[in-house]
Amino acid sequence: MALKLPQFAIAAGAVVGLLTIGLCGLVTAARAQQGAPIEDVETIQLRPNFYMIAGGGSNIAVQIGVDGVVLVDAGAEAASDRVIAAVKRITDQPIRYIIDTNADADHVSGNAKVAKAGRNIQFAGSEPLGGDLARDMTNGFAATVLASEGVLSRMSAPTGKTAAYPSTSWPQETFYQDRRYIYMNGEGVEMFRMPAAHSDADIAVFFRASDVIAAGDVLDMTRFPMIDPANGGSIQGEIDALNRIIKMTVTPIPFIYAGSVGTYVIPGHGRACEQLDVVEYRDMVVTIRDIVKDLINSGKTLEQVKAANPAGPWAPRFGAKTGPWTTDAFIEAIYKSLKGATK
Amino acid sequence: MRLFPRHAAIVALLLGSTPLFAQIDISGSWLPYNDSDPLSNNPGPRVYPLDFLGIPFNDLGRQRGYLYQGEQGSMPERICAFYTPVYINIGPFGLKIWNETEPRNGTTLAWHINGWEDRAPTTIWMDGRPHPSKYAPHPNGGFATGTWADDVLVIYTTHMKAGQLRKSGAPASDDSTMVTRLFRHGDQLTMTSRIDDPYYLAEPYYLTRTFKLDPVASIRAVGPPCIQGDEGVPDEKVPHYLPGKNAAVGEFQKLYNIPAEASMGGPETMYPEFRKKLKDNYQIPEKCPRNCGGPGEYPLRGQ
Repeated sequence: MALKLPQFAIAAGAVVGLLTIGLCGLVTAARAQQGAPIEDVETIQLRPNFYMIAGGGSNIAVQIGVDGVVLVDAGAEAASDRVIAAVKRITDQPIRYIIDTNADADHVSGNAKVAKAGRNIQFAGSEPLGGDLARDMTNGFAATVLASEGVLSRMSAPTGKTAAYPSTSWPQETFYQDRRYIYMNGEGVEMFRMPAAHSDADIAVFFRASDVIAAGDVLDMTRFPMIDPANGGSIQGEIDALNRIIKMTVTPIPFIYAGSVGTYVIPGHGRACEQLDVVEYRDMVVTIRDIVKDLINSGKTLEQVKAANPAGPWAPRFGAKTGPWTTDAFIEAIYKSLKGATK
Repeated sequence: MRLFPRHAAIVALLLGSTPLFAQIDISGSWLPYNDSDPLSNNPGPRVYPLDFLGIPFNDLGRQRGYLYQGEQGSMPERICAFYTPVYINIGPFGLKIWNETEPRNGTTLAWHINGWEDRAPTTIWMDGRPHPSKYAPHPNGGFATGTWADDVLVIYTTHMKAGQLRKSGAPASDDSTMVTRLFRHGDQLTMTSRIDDPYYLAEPYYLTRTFKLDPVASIRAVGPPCIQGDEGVPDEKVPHYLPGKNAAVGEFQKLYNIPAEASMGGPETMYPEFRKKLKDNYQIPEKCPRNCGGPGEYPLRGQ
């Protein structure tokens, strides 16, 4: 029996189709450049004071309030103007902090421009105090960029060598400890390091009262997790990070039917999530890891492991045959990570 | 009363708006008939692992189903988790349906279907709003909109979570969609759903179910609270089988003498022609050991 879809769905499909065709070239170019597509940015409201901006490289978490705006990740430089405009559509408060969850271009290349559109927390008054000295003691009054020490290491370079980014993009505040926090807009904002996961520089950011976690690329709803062994990433670190995020989330027990959602989790890319979505993702990663491990234990080479297609059942949803992060690259990262662990 | 052209135009406009007046009242308590598919539709773990009969799986859907281990339901994070909205077609419980009206003109803004202990409440928006962005969260109840096609309420559900088509571990992705049609015939309510999954189904999967009006309105508008107990699966453990090592392979087939090609599902297995194809070779087991009677005669697996 053929069922007729509601007309709006068909219309929406047509619009999406046209947009897809129109954006195709742009998306392809952006992917090649920065590893994630640049689309028209879209703003999703999660809480009265909390938003997610998507489509500008990485997802960007936006907390607003009387103290100003806290962003988690700045997105890609190519999308910075649209990101700044999206923030201004939400609030006229200045951007105070940008917290980077990792050092990938689609998360940090927008740092300089987006920070410059904000105003440093040190000069929250209408007239900055200190004049040139104050300007020099900050990034030109720009919002503070805060990240793990690994992000700074990745973006900068020792004297005499060429840095990946200009110094105006670098984090001004860094930390190497397990936890760092600030208190903005009436809530604690905790940053937790997720060691050796996607890379060695990952953090997740937990907004305690808003009950929102920005997970960075540890959780990526558009693809298998990008594990970068060359930059300190590992499959076990990735699983540990997902487990930690799950343990930071709550669901509306015991009144589960009441319709409340519990904790929101903003992934590095793709749609906003709740606890069960992270559990599904973690379960997928653990299952694929276990399959690869079993194949290694039975003496299979990397090529044989790839040929066995251990990620097969999830590949149409999260995998890719081309582009910056293929299914084969994911399997290879697991393989190398597991082989390294057995040495 | 003389009708002026302006009035005539209004009358014509109103008559032309047939969907508004074609709406029927589906509110009330509806008890399910659990005669069909009782193994999968009745409460408890009575469904057999790897029972994929009639599911139009593609190879990937089947492969993923074979990795599933029933213990997953006892993982701490899953004890109080809901099934997806697909469960409305296969869960054992009845429905409580009511409408939310616009206070000035009385039109229905939304239909609500109650949640229960393993199914989230569903809101079916009737006000023409669009479905959310691809970046929006997928809530437990999905996002549903409705339109009337004559006397049939057509419900389109998107933004569902990943979950199961059947308790046997048959997977459904978070990009699945469902079109449900509700027909009311007096005190009977028939539900027909078409489920599409771009990753795991080779063809749309259809489910039907009938409910009867409960004159004493015994179905509650909300389900019982869920207490997250310890069911023996430790934190961080993900129970699953490895490829080719599912301990339950063949068990269901052997019990009922069902050929493997049927029990593993696939589009062909949905159609009457497939039944004809099997008929000549099918041997009824000499003695049906369990799950052979009517409703209420389903001992737990292994008993």
